[in-house]
Amino acid sequence: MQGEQYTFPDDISNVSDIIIKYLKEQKLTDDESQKLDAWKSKSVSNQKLFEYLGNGDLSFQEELALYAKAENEKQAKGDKIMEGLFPNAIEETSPFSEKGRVISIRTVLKYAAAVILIASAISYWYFGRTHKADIAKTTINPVPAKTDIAPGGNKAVLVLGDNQRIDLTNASNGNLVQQGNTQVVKTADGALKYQAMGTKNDVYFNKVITPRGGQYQLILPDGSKVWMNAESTLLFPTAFAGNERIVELTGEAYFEIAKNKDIPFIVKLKNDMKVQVFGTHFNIMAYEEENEIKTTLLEGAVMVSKSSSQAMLQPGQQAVVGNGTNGGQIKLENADIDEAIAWKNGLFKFNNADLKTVMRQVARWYDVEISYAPNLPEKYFTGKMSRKLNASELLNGLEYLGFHFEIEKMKIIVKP
Amino acid sequence: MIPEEKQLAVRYSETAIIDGLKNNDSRVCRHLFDQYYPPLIYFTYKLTSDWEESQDIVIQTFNTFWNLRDNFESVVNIKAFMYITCRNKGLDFLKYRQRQIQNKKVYNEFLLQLENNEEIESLFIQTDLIRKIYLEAENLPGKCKEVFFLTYFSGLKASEIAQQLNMSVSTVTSHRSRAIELLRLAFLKKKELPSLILLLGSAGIVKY
Repeated sequence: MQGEQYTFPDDISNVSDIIIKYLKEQKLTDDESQKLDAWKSKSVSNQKLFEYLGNGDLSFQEELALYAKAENEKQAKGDKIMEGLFPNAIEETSPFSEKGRVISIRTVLKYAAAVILIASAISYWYFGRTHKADIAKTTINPVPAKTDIAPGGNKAVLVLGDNQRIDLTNASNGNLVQQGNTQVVKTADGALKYQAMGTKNDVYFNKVITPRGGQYQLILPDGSKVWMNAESTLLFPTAFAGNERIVELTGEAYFEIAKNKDIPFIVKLKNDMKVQVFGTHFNIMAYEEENEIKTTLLEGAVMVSKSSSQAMLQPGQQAVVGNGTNGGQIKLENADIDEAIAWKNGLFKFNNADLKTVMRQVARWYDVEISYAPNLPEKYFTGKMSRKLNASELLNGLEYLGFHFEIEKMKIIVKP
Repeated sequence: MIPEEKQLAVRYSETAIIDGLKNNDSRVCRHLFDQYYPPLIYFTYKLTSDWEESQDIVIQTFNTFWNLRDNFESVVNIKAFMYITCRNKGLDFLKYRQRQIQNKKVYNEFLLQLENNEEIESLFIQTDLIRKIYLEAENLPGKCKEVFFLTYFSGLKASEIAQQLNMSVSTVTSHRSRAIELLRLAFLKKKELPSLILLLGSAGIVKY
């Protein structure tokens, strides 16, 4: 993915220009002659190619004819590809919007408040396009049709105070249910809002659970906004009473907390870890299967504590804690903000990530199992890709490092 | 030096292209497709000897490229990605096919030869050359260009061309020689015109 990894042997463009000059019987400069000789002597193939060109052998015409054949096809092929890549021109309005533009964090922060509640009628499901025309290979067995896996989308379950479960994925928009004096509203595809209707404070505890391949957005009763990634659970009260606002998280979520100096907001994680918030934007990644719990701060201030250790974060920093019960110290690091909240902007972003880290994210989003062949090379990924791609398209983008992937119904197999 | 580079540069500078990628600009997308499709097909076809497979490979490569578009900082990166990906997929295809073929030993040697980077690099240059020569031909003036293309790519006889373009046979002939003169490429120039046609005939390109 990293563009810099791709380089071309330096002089390719130059050499072909020099050769053409030579064929036209124009005079070459000393420098050019030198380059041409160097290229010729570099390999037998080069030498042969040069002789072939120079001897006026007219079967070279066939080469031009092949090229012309490709030229003649390109209009039709181009039209088809454009249809696939740019079916409609729809302006995106929200971070969880349809495929198309990638929005930078600055744009998101700028529009964040306005964007959340805009009801979006655009479907979030990405339907893959079929690439292959049918291939009639009579002498060779045809390549088998490949199964593919759709990306995740807005899916979640709401569990009420009395343990009643509501499937948010298929629920219709509008008032969903009432919990005491709080109205729970599904405002749009993938968004849920908790609205206080009076001052009486009956408090119930609700839970939103996203499955593998799911994601959801919430507005808590104090106006704080939460975006949940796949395989995550948030436990929270339907009204914030008392002198603290407390929620519990497993998995991954991005928070934009409504300011209230007097009533701090606290996110509890397992193993006695807490993130205390002072009106701000931050991301917490706390998956069971990952080695570390990461809290990344974008704006404002948070204090991360585990047992008796504490650390205060500045914007642009992240706190990293080991994931065991004995977890250990809180490490403060400079954060790659784009990477930490890429998922919220509809992207995968990796910075020197090893294969398994990448594939764990793939597994959660596509809801698949991963199996690894032996003897896989040790390679690291840097780059970003859209989360709206079908599995095959995403994996095509990862192949350049020397892996091959096989997609089965609920499984991806990684091979060298 | 080569007219085409200037032509394209006028329409899309490197910055315009990289910005276009980041902005998901469909015009830049189309421009890149038009630019890369023919040479990539040529390259992949020379590698795999299978035209349909080459089409699939190139289109897949382009789709992958577009999905990764944010990661490219320069035009050289784009070019390298395109060729390297096509090369890899081409070699994969050949290996796949190898399993189906009887005479594996011969095929193995063929593959070994190909995986040798020198051969591939030579093929890059060959592709680039053909592309540039073709583009020069595209820059021939009006009728001259038509005659040239009809001669060398459609394989029409002088009399057929004359009919199609509504001109005399001698006009066709003079356009042809002018084209060759303008291109001034040794491999086209070497023979006199009548024997040129003769040789084209024997190569099966022009029937007469």
